[in-house]
Amino acid sequence: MTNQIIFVLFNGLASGMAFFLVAAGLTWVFGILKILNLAHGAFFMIGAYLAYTIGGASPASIWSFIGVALISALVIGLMGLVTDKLVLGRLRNVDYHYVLIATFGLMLFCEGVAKAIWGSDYFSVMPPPEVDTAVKIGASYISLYTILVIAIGLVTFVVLELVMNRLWAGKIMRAVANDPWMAGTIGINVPLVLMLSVVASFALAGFAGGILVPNQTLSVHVGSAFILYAFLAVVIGGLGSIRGTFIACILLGLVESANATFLPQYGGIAVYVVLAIFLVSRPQGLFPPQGVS
Amino acid sequence: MNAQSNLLQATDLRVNYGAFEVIKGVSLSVKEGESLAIIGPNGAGKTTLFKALTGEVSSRSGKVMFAGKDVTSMPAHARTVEGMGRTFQVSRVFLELTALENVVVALESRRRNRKEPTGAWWRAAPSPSLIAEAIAFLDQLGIANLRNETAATLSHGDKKRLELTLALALEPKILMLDEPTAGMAPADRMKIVDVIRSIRKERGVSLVMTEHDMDVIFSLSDSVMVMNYGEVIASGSVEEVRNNPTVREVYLGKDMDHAAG
Amino acid sequence: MTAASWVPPGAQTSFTGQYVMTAIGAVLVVLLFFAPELVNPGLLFIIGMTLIQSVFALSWNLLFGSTGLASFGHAGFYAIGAYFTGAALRYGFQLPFVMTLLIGGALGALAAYIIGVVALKRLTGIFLAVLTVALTEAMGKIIGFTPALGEQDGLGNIPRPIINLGFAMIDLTNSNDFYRFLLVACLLVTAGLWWVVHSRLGRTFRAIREDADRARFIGIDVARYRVISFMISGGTAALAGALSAPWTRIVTLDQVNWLASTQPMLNSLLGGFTNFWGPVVGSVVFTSINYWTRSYPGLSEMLVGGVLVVIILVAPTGVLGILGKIRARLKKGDRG
Repeated sequence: MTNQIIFVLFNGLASGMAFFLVAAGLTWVFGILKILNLAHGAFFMIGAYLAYTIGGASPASIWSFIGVALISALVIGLMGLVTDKLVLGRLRNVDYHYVLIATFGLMLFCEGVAKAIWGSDYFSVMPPPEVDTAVKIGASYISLYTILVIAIGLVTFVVLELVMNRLWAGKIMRAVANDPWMAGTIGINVPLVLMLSVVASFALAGFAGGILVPNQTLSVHVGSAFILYAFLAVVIGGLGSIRGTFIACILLGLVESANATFLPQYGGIAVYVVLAIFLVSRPQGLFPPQGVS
Repeated sequence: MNAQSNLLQATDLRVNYGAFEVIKGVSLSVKEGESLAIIGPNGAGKTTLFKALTGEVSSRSGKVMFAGKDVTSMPAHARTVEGMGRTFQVSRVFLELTALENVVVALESRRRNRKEPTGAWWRAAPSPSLIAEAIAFLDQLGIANLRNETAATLSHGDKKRLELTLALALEPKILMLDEPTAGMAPADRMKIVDVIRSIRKERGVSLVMTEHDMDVIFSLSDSVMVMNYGEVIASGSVEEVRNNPTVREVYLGKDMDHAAG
Repeated sequence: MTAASWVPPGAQTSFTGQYVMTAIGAVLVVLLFFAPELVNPGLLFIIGMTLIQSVFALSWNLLFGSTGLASFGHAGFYAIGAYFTGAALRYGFQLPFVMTLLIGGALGALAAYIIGVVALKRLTGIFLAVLTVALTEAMGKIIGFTPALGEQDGLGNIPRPIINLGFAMIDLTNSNDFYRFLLVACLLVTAGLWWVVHSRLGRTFRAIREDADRARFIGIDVARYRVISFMISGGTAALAGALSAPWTRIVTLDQVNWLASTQPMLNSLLGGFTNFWGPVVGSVVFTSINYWTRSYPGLSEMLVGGVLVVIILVAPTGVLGILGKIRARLKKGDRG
């Protein structure tokens, strides 16, 4: 029994961190631009494909693995820049329904591009050799790659929290998120901040794609699965709150893992029970947005 | 209901925004056919009081009685059915509908709520008598010629007129007007005042309004209530309030001296 | 001051315009009726699916275009109708076929009622979106555990029905015959939705969409009418699903996931969500694009996604919106 609990714990944490790597960018963009970017999952997917193309199916070492993920981040960030210039930038003051439709169109477009370039086949990528072993904790075998994902997730969270709360860059972003008009009045270059936020969010998606590509079947639909959990987490955690998203992702990861281990014949349903509980009792999320009304 | 009883009565209303108490125990009463103006500096809580009276926000404590019924826990649409008509500071109409459609929707809602006939149920288009009534209402406010224009394309003043038409189409017992002449040119202002005055005379509608323009207040109100920081600091007839020293101090007396007596 | 001064929304204002549109519509219906004789069975199947998708899209747009609510999980309602009808036919429930269809629709409306009463009062916008997606996904998972509904493989071997009218039997086992029934059924449902959108009910929905607070201050019980709109929308989506089960003869989980929910959205947005016929136009356009690009993987998604983005940037009201703008510009040219 304890074996199972240890397994669920590590597996769940890793799942949660994986969700967080995808959800972080989503909640960030929502916090600052107040839009729900449906294309986020598609950019994550392209990041994963890119990492596969550059790094190959068997990465040479852990450093080349992370390096490739960072390159993915860079490229996807640049794609985000182009997207912002061409599409998102023109939709800043438009009804949110239209923005939703536009990001939906973007998502489809990206899926089409991925299908055209890489085809509909499935690929798989191995984890880097240093972590392609298991370590024994208690009586349970935990893959080192799982631990790597947990570590990267934690580091990402800490970095994001530091940037948002300690560095001046974060303070500027929070000012823009709270009251863009006021921020503009005191001299902040609001359009630049918005653009950089979009780029950063996409870069994060690309990075997530690179990191999470091992132990997955890489297909055009890999984005959809993650993005669904990301949406659930963003709603449970509170729109725009990185802290809330982090906690919600861990919660969902653990719940999903427990569900798969203890009730495999009813796999995948427990997270929806959790969502239902939250929507009924605390719809504003764990950390509700503190905007100006 | 005899003429002496109150049509609208609020007792000790308290409204909070979060932890902050915005309305601190306000009471007021309006008799049938009477007209009350609520004035006060910006931020005094006038619009919030309106929202509490009409049901747009809920009050933390206190009671609102309307036409003999306790409406304190009634939602906004139910209070409207009871007979409250409301306009907004920045006029809100159904922008993508034409002016005629706007009034038709209001009329259909009124007829449905009062169980008046709305025409054969299987008809898609509104009944000719309903359209005629809608055009008559638009005509009363002088905008019948704009009936097929989309509301979004109307000028500011015409939107205000359309919104007033919507409120009147409901045949309310009381009109709650939030700054009815805000943003209008002086000539337009007096026209609206005339319209409201004739409506009061013809239909005996009671009136509660917030206003900054003293001329409008003098032309339309029987009594005035002055608010500051969420409390009532004076109330009474126009003359009484005008001569009240506390009010002069709070309001700096400027507006009151300028207006004709 | 006559009834002629009433201009239904989105209608042609000139007499010749109305005449032309009705004539085109009539010709289309006749062509569709004789389709089995005009096209090969493969294309007929696609036409049938397009009819079903049009009704599905119309049901979604009742909620979005007319009432201002975005449901991201509409496939759930479709699946309710599809699985119920599929099971009824496959397991030989002793029910007249039309009754089966109506019950399927009613189940969809019931589900919508429950969701509406529990959720619509406090959840709009993004919360409603996530809730509807989550519910549909959850339903998909539950179906996946249910052997009677075919689990992961789907519910197959669905027979086409025979309608017993007592005095006559209408045998729909043949594709061509069922196709005609499908056409008639879709036309009826479409007519019903047209009536709803253009009636008093539709006007109430539009007021709520435009400005819900203002609608309250006109005496409209906004919460109640949102639920009514949700029920009609869910019920007709379920009807579309119900009609699809005997047509495709198999119901699978592919029709219950969130990707399937995006189909009616896509069709409505492509064709133009401000016009009643937009979803139909969008369904036809999408099916055509899919068909013509079927040998080039990814091209259909790129085209449709790209078109959507361009539409939003240039003309948010879709294909019909662009046509409407062109028409308005031509009319102005006439007057000048």
